[in-house]
This record gives sequence, structure tokens and C-alpha cells, in this order.
Amino acid sequence: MKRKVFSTNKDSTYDFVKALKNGAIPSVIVFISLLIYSTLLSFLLIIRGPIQDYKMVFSEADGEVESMFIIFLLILGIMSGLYMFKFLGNKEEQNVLLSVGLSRKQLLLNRCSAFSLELLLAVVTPLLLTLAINIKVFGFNLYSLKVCAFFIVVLFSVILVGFTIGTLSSILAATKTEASLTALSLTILPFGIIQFFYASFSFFLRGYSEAFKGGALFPIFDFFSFFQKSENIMRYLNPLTMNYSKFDYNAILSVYSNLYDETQRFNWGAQNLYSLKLSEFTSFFLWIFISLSVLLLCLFLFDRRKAENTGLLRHGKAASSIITLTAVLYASGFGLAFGVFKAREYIKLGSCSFFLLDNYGKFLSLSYILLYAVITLFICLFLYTLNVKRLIKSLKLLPLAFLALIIPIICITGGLGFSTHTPSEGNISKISLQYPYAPDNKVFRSYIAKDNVNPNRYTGFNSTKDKKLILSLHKTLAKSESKMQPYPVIIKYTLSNGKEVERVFPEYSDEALISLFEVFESDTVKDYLYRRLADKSSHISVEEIMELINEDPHVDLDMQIRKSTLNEFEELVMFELKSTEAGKYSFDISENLDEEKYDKFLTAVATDYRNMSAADYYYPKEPCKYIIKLRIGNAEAEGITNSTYYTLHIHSTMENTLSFLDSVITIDDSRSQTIKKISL
Amino acid sequence: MIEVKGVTKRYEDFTAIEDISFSTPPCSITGLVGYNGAGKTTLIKIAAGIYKADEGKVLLSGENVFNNNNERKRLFFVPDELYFPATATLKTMAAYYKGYYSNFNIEIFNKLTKLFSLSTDKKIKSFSKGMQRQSEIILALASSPKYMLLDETFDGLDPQKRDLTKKLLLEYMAESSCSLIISSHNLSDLANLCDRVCLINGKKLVINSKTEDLGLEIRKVRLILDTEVKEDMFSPLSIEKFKSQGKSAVFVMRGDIKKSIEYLQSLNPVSLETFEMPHEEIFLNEMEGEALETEGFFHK
Repeated sequence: MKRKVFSTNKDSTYDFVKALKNGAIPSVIVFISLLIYSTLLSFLLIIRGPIQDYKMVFSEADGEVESMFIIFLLILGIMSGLYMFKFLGNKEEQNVLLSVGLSRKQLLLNRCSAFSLELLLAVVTPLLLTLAINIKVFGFNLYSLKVCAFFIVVLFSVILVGFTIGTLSSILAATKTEASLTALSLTILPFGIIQFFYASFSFFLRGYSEAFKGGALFPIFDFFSFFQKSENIMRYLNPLTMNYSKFDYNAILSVYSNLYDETQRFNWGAQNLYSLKLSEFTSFFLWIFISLSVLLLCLFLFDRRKAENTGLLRHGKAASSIITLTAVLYASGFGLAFGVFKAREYIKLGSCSFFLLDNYGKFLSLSYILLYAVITLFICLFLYTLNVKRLIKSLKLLPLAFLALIIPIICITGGLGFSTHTPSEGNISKISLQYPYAPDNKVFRSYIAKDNVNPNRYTGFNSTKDKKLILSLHKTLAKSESKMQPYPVIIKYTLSNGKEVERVFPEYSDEALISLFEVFESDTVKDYLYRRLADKSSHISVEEIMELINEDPHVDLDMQIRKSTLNEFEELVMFELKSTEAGKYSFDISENLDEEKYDKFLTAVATDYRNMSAADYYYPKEPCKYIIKLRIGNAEAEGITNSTYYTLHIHSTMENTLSFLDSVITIDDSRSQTIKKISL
Repeated sequence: MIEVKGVTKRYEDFTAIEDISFSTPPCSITGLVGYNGAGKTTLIKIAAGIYKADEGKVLLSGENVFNNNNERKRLFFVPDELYFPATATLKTMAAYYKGYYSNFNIEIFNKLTKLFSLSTDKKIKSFSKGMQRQSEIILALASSPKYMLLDETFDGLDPQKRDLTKKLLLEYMAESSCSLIISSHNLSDLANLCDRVCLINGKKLVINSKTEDLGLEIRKVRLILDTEVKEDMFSPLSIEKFKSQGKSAVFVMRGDIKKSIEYLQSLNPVSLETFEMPHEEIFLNEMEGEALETEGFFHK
């Protein structure tokens, strides 16, 4: 044993071996965790149950366990980084290590390479054992190998990110406490920045759409939604979420675990759903690349680190700045949240939506942000000076708290033109528009009766006339005063280069709402309504839609007209006609109709809509002459009648429809007599 | 050879040392003297490659200490604040330094531990302060360095161990042609050990002299004339701390002592006495500090 102790002669090798010893504990923890989490689970499934029940197992594939495990690995990585460079917080140990004849570069590289090597072994070994068990059960296949590789890359990248944070923190800080706080700050800072930006956009930026997706009231301020999937690039830069994959990888893992069917055959169908492409690995490789880049930066920083600050609390200026920035940022976020809640107390019900506040609300929110930022910055300055004289001297930094207002103010003032920006007409390929009181896609249903239903979305608007109309409406909405309306207007431009520009306006003036009615006169809406009612050739069935999707999963289905029950004469049960003029009778004339007449009726309505102005549609000068009520479908399942009702108001401007109805009514003399009798 | 060239180090607004230069040839010992906080530790840590100088550089065998890892591998720094992990024993620390110093001599290590009567299996943290310092000296000497930097090394050592350590350092220097720099605030610790004494005061190096030359250019003078003594009478000389009372005067005289005495005799003194100054007095004189008065300090 004695000889072994003195066996190492090369100082750099010795330092590397020492680093290996230091990194052994976290690596062993990773190894044991994965051995239990992956290998042992596989092994137990083999020995406990019939082999037919064995699934391809690399993890438990439970979403919550998976997430906690990822956090656990991230923290372990951070602690490893702090532990490997603990000498940077200990003056005595630093004196020795910096004077033993190894350059700082060598000291850093030894520790990084030693830990990376151990970590790789700790991750690879148990997963290779799991792979071996899978191969034993199912035989070798490339897919198992790919899944195993995927796990290795995921787990390695997570811990490496943590280790990088720990290393960077140790170098920037002067004491171990400061290093730990810096690591915590670096971990949560990107999340805080993202949350603060998103919250500012959501509450203050007119036209910003992200907040209205997903239907959550607080999509941004949910501090516990760490693992919320988002394709936004900023989330890719958030070590806390580690949510950088195109798919939710928890779901992927779950599917991987069920890739074999009951007959022990490889389920190629399931595999195709989540086929492991290189792009799946890319984001994890990106994290490894980011970590390595930061470690390179650490080389630079370590070389310039002032050793004399070691052990002196509050002497790591970079670390202090990061900790202070994080504290002020989070305080500003809470200030924003509390400010918004306070503002809500003063806002009249229905005067504005939850997200966009009125001017007083905005002022109140900004005041709260500033107040919380100033208080936090003051506390930080106090803690970093602990001396009245120096505190007074450092108070000149207090105005920096105003920086917390930059993003909210930019948002309030239109986000540097974000709210008013419209793509140039020539660049627009198509436009999708959803707005309140848009004609329903079933046409016949009264627009008055759909307050609680999402309005119809129209896509197209690619004629010059339509583009000009929408662009003009967009500008009107962006400039109009804020007033809560029943439904937000959502405009999505698809540009010639394939990019999309989306704006959402939940608040706009009544004048802007009325101007939206002009959309009825657009080519897109008129054409849609006509085809919907009168052009059967443009209708496609559910089966045809599935075929389209199978051919191209990204096919644009927005304006594909589905074949609906409205067009199926054979399903027509009731065609009730009610005269509002007489106001005394209504009866079913379905017996007087055949398919040809029904089609003529739909064409007449379609033609009238095509000829009708927006004013005639939304503000008819006279009350309607007839109300038609259709009942389609009479199939009964388990005693429940499966019928759909449609309603249509016939105004005096709908000449073709009136003409048709007159012709239908006169066909049946007995019915005419009845009408006459009732009229008399 | 260790060469310190124009080294300046600042801690934010505070300048710790300014434009310090001296050299320590092989087989020699340089003593760094100065009050507490004079900048001795700062200078030694710069020489060890721990701190970076804001200006100037430290050369080991002609190359900057930061870029010369080969030479730095032969450098051993004994800091004032010793590093021993909680569970470390002399044996484990020997293994530790053996890893970093390829010339670590286990035989010398064993001999030294016996000489100092220190157990190699006991935890060093359980040792007294002096024993811990002895442990570090043992480890330093066993590492067979070419350059040794010792910061306040004699602090906490009893007179016997202090004497033993000095003898060992001299013996080691002679055997290995080692260059040593030892810092202390106690000149008497260094006077009989160092070849050269460097005195830092007020950030600057005020004395950089061979030990034997230390008192050659400075004398204390007591003079009695037959007329009243005035300071301007001595304007051709370099004098300090002038005090006069009627016809007598006392002062410190620097420079060419022989010529200065000739000048004083030309004044036809009734009495002229010159005294060589002890090292401690020279040290105090250079520090520009009188012995601090404490008489009556606590008198109410």
C-alpha cells in the first residue's frame, strides 16, 4: 500500500488522478441511480414475469419521475462542479495548487476531463447493461442501439450542463457560499429572463399572441411549469427546463418502452411514430456544445481570475453581479405579478382583458416592478457593502433598477413597431383571420346565437383586394383604443418564404369591431360561403381528408370544405318555414322537396349571400320575412335522437331565396290554401 | 535564480507594493523584512505564481514564473496559512506532495520526521501550531525544491526548532544550490541566516543590501561643539533624526562614512562619537518609526 501511495511521478497525471478521486462520488451516484433506474428494472422484469411481458426498458418512463430524475442529475452536476473546484473558495488549498508547477489551464483541464470521463463511464456502463438485456430478450436490432445512444446523450448532456454551471460559478466567485449562490442564479436566471420577457409581452405588448395559446389563464406566470414544452428558441437556452427536443422526450421514452407488441415482434408502426432521427440528437449535442464553449470560456476566465480575492466574501464582482441580477429580475417579476393583481382591483369589469391593462393598470404595474427592483437592489447593495459609508457610495448604482422597466416600456410603446408592423402586400402568400361575428361555417346557423362559440376562421385572402382589406383592418386594430371585446381578432400571415407572422388583438374599439364586418365582402368569405352551399364538387369527406393527411402530414386543411349533413338531402327530416310577415303560421314543407329542389334552394341562398353587402348581412333594414329551420338526421342510438338543427333568416334582399320559396309554396295547392286560410 | 523586476501590485485602489526589484542567486537566501501588512506575503505569492503582478514580473531562471511551469515544478511555497485537510497525516501529505514534486525524497522525509520527533500517522490538525509549521518545513525540504519561498516560517517555532530549522535551511541551500526567499517581520530571525536583506516599507523597497553591508553606510553620531549646534551646519551631509540641545546634537548619518567623519572633524568638535547601529535599530530607523510611546498610556 505504501508503495502505491508514492507511485505517481508525473505531477499533471497525479493531479488528474486526484481529480478522478474527487469526481468519483458523484459519478458513482449517477452509476448506481442508472443501475437501479434502468438495468435493475430490466433485469427484474425478466426474472419476475413471463418473458412475453417484457418490454424494451431503458427507464421507468413515468413523466414526473423522469423530470425529477433530470433535475436530480442537473443538481448533481452542479455540485460536482462546485466540489471539483472547491479549492477556489479555500485560500490555503489554492496557495498549494496554484504554486505546484501546474498551469491554471492544466488544473482546469484535468478536472474537466477527469469528471467527463468518469461521467461517461457512469452513464454508458449501466445503459450498455440494459442494452445487453434487451438484446438477450429480443435479439440485436439497430433501433435498440439508437435508443441506448439517445439515453446516453440525454443523460450525459444534462449532467455536463450542471457541471459547467458549477465550474463557471467557482471561477467567478470568491467563496464557496458565493459560488453556490452563483450556481443557483445561473441555473434559474435564463428561466427568470424568459418568464419576465414573456410576462411583459403578454401583459403589455399589443398583438402578441403566445399568451393566448393553450387556453391557460397564466401560461407564463406558472413558475412550476418548468417542463412545459415550447418550441421557442429561448427555452432551448434554459438549463432548468432542458426542454430542447422537438418532441417531448418523456413521451418518446414512454413510446420506446412499448415498442414491442404482444407477440414479441418489434412494433414498426410505433417506431415510425417516434423514429429516432439525427435531429432528435441535435438539440442535446447543442447543449454539449454550449457546455464545452462555456468551459472554454472558463479557461480564459480562470487564467485571469484574481487569486487574492479567494476566501473574501463579496469580492467576486462577476458572481455578485449575477446574483444581484437574478434577485432583481425575480423581484421585478413578482412586482409585475403583484402590480397586475393590484391593477385588476381598479379595472372595471369587462373594460379590458386580463393581459392587456388600461393606462392606469400599466402605470400601476410599472410602479410595482420598479419598487420591487429598487428594494431588492438596495438589499443586495447593503449585503455587499455592510458598511454605511460604502453603502451610500454604492447607492449611485440604484438607478440601474430602472433597467427592469426597459422591456415592459418597449412593449407598452408597441414593441419597437411589433404591434403596428404589417408584412408588405407583395410578400403575403395567404392570410388566416378569426374574428367575432364571422359568418359561421355552417352558414345557416344564426350569427346572433353563437356568443360562446369560437368564430369561424377564414384562410385565403390572397387577392389584392382582400390583402388590402386585412392590412387596413390590422392597422385599425393596432391603433384603436383598448376595450374588451367578446373574442380576440387573430390574424396570421403566411409569407411567400413560408414564415408566419401572427398577431392577436383581444382589445379594440367598437368602431374597429364594426369595421371588421367588411370582411364579409371579401372574395375569400364570399367564395367560401358559395362553395359551402352550392358547389358540391369542392366538398371532401372525412376519408378524403385522412388520405390528404397520409399523403402530406403538413397539408393545409384550413379551407378544405368538409362534406356536412347540411348538404345531405337524404338526411333531411324537417324543413320548417315560418312567416314572420304574417306571424301566425309555420309548417314543414319537406314533403314538397326533392333533392333537386333542395339543391336549388341552397344555390339560391348561396347566390343571395354572394350578392349581399355586409350592411345587408349584419344590419338588415327590415325584419326578416321568413325563418327557416332545418332538422337533419334522425338516427337513434340508445334512445337518443341524433339530429342537427340549422336556422336561416330570409330577408327581403335575398331575392333568389324568396323566389324559390314562393315557387315551392305554390307547388302544393292544399298547403297554399292552408296558408291563405291562415292569412285570412 | 529568482529575479523580481519592478513588481507592483494593487488591490483595487490600494497599492500594496510598488516597483520592487531584487534578485536571489542560486545558493543564497534573501530575507524579506517589513512590518505587518508591508506587502511581504503579496510579493512572495507573486513569486510563487499565485498572484499576478499588475506591473513588473518575477523570473525563475530567466523566464516569467507564469510561463515557466518546468521551473515552477521545482518551486516550493511554504505559506503563512498552512493547508492540511482535516484527516491529513504527515504520511498522506507526503503522498500528496510526492504526486506534485517528482523529486520528493522519501528518505529525507523519514529522517526529518525523526529529527523533529513528529508522528507520521497522527492527524496534522491535532498538532500544535508550531508542529504544523515543522510538518510543512519537513514536506518542503523533502520535496527537494530548487526555489523555496517561506512566508513567516519561524512564527510559532520554539527557539530550539527555530535554530534547527535555520541550520537545515542553510544545509539544504548549500547542498542543493537552492534559492530561498524568507519573509519575516523580525529581522533578528533573518540576520544570521540571510545573505541579503530586503526591507519593504511604505509599499517600496527601502533596503536591498547584503547582510554584512547592512550597517556599513549608516552611523549614529553624538557631537558636542563649542558653539550652539544648528542643523544647517550639516547641510553637506545626509543626516536624519536630528536632535540638538544647546551645544550638543544627536543624529543618524548615511553615505560615505569616512568622508562624513572628516567633515564633522573639520567643525572642531569638543566631542565626536560615532556608533555602528544594530540591525534592529537600522530596521526601526528605515521604517521611519520611533519606538512607539506607551508610558502613561493607561494613566487616568
